Amino acid sequence: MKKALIIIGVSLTIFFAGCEKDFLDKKPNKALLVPTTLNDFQALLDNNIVFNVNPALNIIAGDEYTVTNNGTGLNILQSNAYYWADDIYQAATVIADWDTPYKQVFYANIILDGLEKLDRNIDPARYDNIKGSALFVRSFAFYNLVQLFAQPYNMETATTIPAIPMPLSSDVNKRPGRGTLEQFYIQLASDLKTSAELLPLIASFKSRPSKWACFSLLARVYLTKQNYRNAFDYAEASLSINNNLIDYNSLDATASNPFPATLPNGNPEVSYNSENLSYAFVRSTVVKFSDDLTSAYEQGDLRKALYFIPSNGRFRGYVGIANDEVFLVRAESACRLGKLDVAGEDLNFLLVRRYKTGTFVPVQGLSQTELLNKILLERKKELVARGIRWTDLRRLNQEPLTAVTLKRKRDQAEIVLLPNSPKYTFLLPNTELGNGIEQNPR
Amino acid sequence: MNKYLYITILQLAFFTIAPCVFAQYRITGKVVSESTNLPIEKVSITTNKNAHVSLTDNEGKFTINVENGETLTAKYVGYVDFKLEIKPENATKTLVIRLKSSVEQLSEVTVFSTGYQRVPKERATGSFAQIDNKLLNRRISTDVLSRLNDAVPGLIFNRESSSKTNSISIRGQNTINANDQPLIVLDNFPYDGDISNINPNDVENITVLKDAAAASIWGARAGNGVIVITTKKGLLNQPTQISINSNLTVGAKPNLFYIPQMTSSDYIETEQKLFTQGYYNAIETSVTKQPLTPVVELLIAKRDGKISETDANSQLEKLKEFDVRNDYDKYLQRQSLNQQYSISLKGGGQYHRYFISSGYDKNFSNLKGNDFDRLTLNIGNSFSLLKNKLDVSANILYTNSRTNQNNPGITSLGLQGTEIYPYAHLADANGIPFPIARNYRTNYINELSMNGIGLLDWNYRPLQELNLSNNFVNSFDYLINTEARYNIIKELDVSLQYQYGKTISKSENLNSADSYYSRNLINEFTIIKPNSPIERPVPLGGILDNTEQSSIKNNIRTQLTYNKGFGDKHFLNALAGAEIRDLNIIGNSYRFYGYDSEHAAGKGVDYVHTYGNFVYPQSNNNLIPNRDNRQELTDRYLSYYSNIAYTFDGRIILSVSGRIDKSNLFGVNPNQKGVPLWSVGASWEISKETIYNLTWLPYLRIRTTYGYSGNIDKSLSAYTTAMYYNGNDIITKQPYANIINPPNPELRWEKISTANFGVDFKLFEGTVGGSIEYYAKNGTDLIGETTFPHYTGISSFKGNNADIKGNGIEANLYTKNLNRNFKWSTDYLFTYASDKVTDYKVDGVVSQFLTSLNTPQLGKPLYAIYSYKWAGLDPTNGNPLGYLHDGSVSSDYAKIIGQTTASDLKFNGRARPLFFGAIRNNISWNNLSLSISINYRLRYYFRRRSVVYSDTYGLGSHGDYYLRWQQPGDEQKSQVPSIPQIPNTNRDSFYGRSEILVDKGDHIRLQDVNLSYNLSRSEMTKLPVRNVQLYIYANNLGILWKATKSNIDPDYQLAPLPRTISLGMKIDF
Repeated sequence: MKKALIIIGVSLTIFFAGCEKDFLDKKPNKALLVPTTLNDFQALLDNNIVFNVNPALNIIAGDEYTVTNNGTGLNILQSNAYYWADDIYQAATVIADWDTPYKQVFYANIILDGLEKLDRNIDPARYDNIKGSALFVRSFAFYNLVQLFAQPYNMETATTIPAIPMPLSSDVNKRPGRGTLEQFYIQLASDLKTSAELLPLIASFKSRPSKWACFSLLARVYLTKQNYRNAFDYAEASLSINNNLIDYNSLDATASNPFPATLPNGNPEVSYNSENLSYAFVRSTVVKFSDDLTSAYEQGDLRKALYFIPSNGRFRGYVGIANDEVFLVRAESACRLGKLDVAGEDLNFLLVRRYKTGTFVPVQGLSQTELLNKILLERKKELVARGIRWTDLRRLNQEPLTAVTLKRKRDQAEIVLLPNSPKYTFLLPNTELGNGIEQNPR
Repeated sequence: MNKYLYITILQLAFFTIAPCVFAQYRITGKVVSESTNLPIEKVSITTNKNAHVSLTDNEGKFTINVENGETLTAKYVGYVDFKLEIKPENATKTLVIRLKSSVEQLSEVTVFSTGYQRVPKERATGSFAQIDNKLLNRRISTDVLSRLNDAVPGLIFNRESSSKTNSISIRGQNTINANDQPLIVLDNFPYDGDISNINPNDVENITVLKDAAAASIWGARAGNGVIVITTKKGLLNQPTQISINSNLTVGAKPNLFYIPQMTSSDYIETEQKLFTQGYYNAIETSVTKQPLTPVVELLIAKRDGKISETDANSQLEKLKEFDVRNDYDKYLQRQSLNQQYSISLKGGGQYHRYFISSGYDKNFSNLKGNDFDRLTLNIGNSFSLLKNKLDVSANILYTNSRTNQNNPGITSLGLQGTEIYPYAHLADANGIPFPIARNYRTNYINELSMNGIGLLDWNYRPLQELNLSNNFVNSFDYLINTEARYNIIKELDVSLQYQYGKTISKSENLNSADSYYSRNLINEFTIIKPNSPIERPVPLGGILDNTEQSSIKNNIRTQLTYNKGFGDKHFLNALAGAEIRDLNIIGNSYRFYGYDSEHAAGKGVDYVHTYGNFVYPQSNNNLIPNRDNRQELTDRYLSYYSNIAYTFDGRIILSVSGRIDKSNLFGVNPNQKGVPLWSVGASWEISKETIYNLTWLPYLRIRTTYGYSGNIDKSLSAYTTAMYYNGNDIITKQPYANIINPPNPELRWEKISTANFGVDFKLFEGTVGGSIEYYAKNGTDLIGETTFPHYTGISSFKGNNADIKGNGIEANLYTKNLNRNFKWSTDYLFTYASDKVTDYKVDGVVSQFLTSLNTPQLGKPLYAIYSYKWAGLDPTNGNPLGYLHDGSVSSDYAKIIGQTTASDLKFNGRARPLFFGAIRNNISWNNLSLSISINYRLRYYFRRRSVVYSDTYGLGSHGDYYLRWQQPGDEQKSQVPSIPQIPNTNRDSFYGRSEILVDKGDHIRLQDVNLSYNLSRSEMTKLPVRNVQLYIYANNLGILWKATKSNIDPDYQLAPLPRTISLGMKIDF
């Protein structure tokens, strides 16, 4: 007995030491995982709480909305953004317009780093799709950020103007610095082109990227860079994959949701779904669409009744990357490149599907400037609440002919945003400064 | 150990004739057990000189010859030896010898149990506190833990948030993100089950381990202190003792009028005002048919001419007279009633001892429909074998409890589950339940039912619901302990302990087919199309939610214990061991639709496709709620420990302990999975020194310790971790995952160092005594957050980068004020516990400081109250005034809120008391004893509630509404803002978080009174039982003094604990 107990005691102690590693390697929670497989990466990409969302402060700060009643009851940040306050964030440290795209970048980097450790040959098609998707969502996030937080792109200054931090790995301890806009767009274009090669023509769901969406985004990127030749080419490439447009005559404006839901595969025009960050601003009773915009729709234009809910004027159109934008990119690029017939054709092709049958008078015989102005106006009327207007303002303000001055009224005082004002660039949140990151000028 | 044993003589008779010096006597006597008064057979009676021997007979009687001056010894296993020098005066009468049980003897000397060993108070260097059986039973409660209240200096029940029940801090809080509760040890092993499963009648005593030396034996789990619960055991050589304890506790109904509220009349008038301003238009026309109150419905009917103005007005006047709280009180509340019964049986022979008990508790809560019952069974057996060299024991603890929870309380009976409008009627005059608008407009629902299109009744009748649901949690808890201890050689013991525990907790929420929940869900999914049969994606019948959680634990421990004296003066106690622990928790939850409880049958539903809502078919993205879920958690520890104490001459003690803990922290480098923790300690009993001669201070001992304990946050990981969402994306039907943690390869354990200094003393022949302790703690490597630039993808990172320092003074003193027939003694408990965040890498967000009490800020206590600075009310309009960042007074609330930085905020002070304690007076006279406990909590703050105007002119708000500014001059007597001209939520949040609403929490409370009457056979021989005690106990008696002028109990802001009174009886056979 005595011996037995000693033996048991001693052997148990040794046993404890011996089984230590296996015993302690057990996961504390089975649901936890270290993402390593293609399934894991696809599941991360399919998280559309994180992805398929884009900034929206630029929509508030643009010229699509008007605030009444001095904005009583509006949240401070949103009110500041609307009135172009010097410091719109004040004490706030969580700025979703900055954080959300960078979270997308972080997820994409984790996936891209994880793919490096996987053998592509296991499932090449899936591997490529995931890699292309990760590159796409990262580029989309970078592009959206740069429209708010870096100064507008301009060929002369792009090599000196700082862009935004562009982390290309998931190591949270890296501090990449802002770089220049030129470097930024080179990386962006290169990533998107790689992505386009890897992605399938069309995705299974509109929450997932595709070659179609990727070419559309490239067209948008080159338009932003005022590189109209490339913008034209990529718009053409995109439309060659899919040039569907909804004929608005087929829609019922009295229905509560006249447009087919984008997800999973409803709206034939949309190539990639991305929602605006949800700000109470757009639902506030003191906010409405500006008269300037709503009065621009002519008699017979179906868009006014379809885009805006009759009872409260709120927006109910679609967002994300869609073919109407691509047609307008091709039209504008063509016009600027002197291909007026192509431009006119595209414009008419789009607009005939936007007007009540029989009411649309096709555009023809306009001068280049007249046609350009017409196309730019249609961009404003067509691409409502997609965040594109802000980028257009930044681009078009660089040419005196297309520059506009924005005005707000508060307590009888007029607040003005001049073309090319530094306020067209949002400040970086204070949490981001340091480590070579400098604040934008004011 | 025998040194501590001493003898007592209770009854001696003496002879009237003095005998001569060397006379020989023939002594007769009787031996009884001191505790039971029962005779003991076969006790050996010996004399030292002549070595006469005698044994007691079955009546405990003996006869022996002794010489004058000789010492007589009575000896029996399991009892303390009794010695008596024979003198002429005690030699001739019948001697009654009362033997003390050696086990009881030990506990009387106060033995601290650490879960690994039992340390007599005199040999402990660390900070221990013990609640003995008497103090433990002073309070009446269903649970054990609440009996620690006001019993241990340094231990506090946190009450800063009403959501915390039984949240305990020992010597302040030393962690920010990890577990902040003390480790609870039941006998030898950590107890992971529901603490309310332990029957307090089974508990012998509780030891609280406070400093590193006391707790470091528990290593990495001891960072928050350790509470060791020791259960009752049988004794060797003792006849069977049966004890019965039973009591009844009645609690008052909660006071629903505690928080003042806007009256029904003002509520209705405000609704009328809002109505005329069109406030309800959007709701009235909403496509989702949002519900409206009866008053608004009346006003609509009046506007639309469906009811005459006079009718409407008279109905409104009638409603104004009503207060729903009266209905609550009448129909949903009752006096609480707790019944407790317990019976125990203990005893032992020469080789065997046992303890068997059973307890039954039945509690009716003060909410009708909610009750709790618990059955406990405890069986313990020990055998001494191989000439007492081998000790084998086995103990089984079984608990079965059931909690019925059919009354959800009164906070969620209103529209869309909010608070109900104050003029609601729950029932008509005959008590027939009335419907209340819930999710949809009453008119709409009535219309639907009149149309007879096949929907189920859509009315919600809160009173009816009580009987229509059957929600309960049934919990089974088994705990099996086995131990074998073998005495290898005299000084060395080896022991092997194994514990197996299993807890199964099943909760069932049955919403019967008639319940509103089921009817509503079925209706919402119902599809009715013309000329086609009615479709019900959610089938008719009840809805049953099941949640099952089973946890299985295995603990194995081997331990060597070495006790040896070297010469007279040197004594060594050492132990070393290893233990392994595995806790596995599996949780499952699932739901049955269309459940038929009579046949226990459910129906399948389609979880995949989306449906439209019946009321609002345009919203076509509704999935039938899927409650299927599964969870598997594993907690593993592997530990090695040792503890050595050296005693010199019983005066000086040195102690050392060390422990290594390793755990299955996810993905952490193996070398960081473990942490070595240690402590050293020393004590010196100065009064034992030969040169010591302070007669007024007969006992003086000082002790000091230093060491480390630890804590852990298992939610963190060294790798990038992700987690799949339960269920697929609604639209794409694809699985999706999110990232939980960025990688943290540097993750390690939290470490808390404690230095402790203590003095134990007795003054004036023991009429005053106690101990005083000072400690300083330093928590390092605490899991805290560091900010990261958000472009890294994360905004903050949890890592080991925060420090908290704390120090405090604790005193536990007693005075024996009177000690004659009338006895009066007083116990004093005093605690000063301070803490300060000394390292934190994140600047807190202003809104967080204002809403969350434990937002760390450098240099401030962890739990603190901050507020906006207050500049009074604007005398012209009653607007609250605050300060902008530049110091100017302003009523631009958006600016105030936007500009205020963390350093602009006012730091009011701690949210947890800096000083606390209790004073307990114990009075006894003959068989009556009275004990009164008064406790105090000082130097802390709380935020009062007040009116919130929102955009509804304060509809249904706090009664401060009546103190509001109404005209110039009011600002002199009131600080409650006026009703704002234009609704402004920023104004509300500024006022609600301003310093004007922060009050001092300091208060003194009469906690409880215990009055008992005791009768024992030793005093009253005719008593058919050994001992009877009758007791009355009154608890939560009320506040004696408080610093705040408001009517609020600072510790119970939502509702004060109702007073309770208990009556009980304890009988020992």
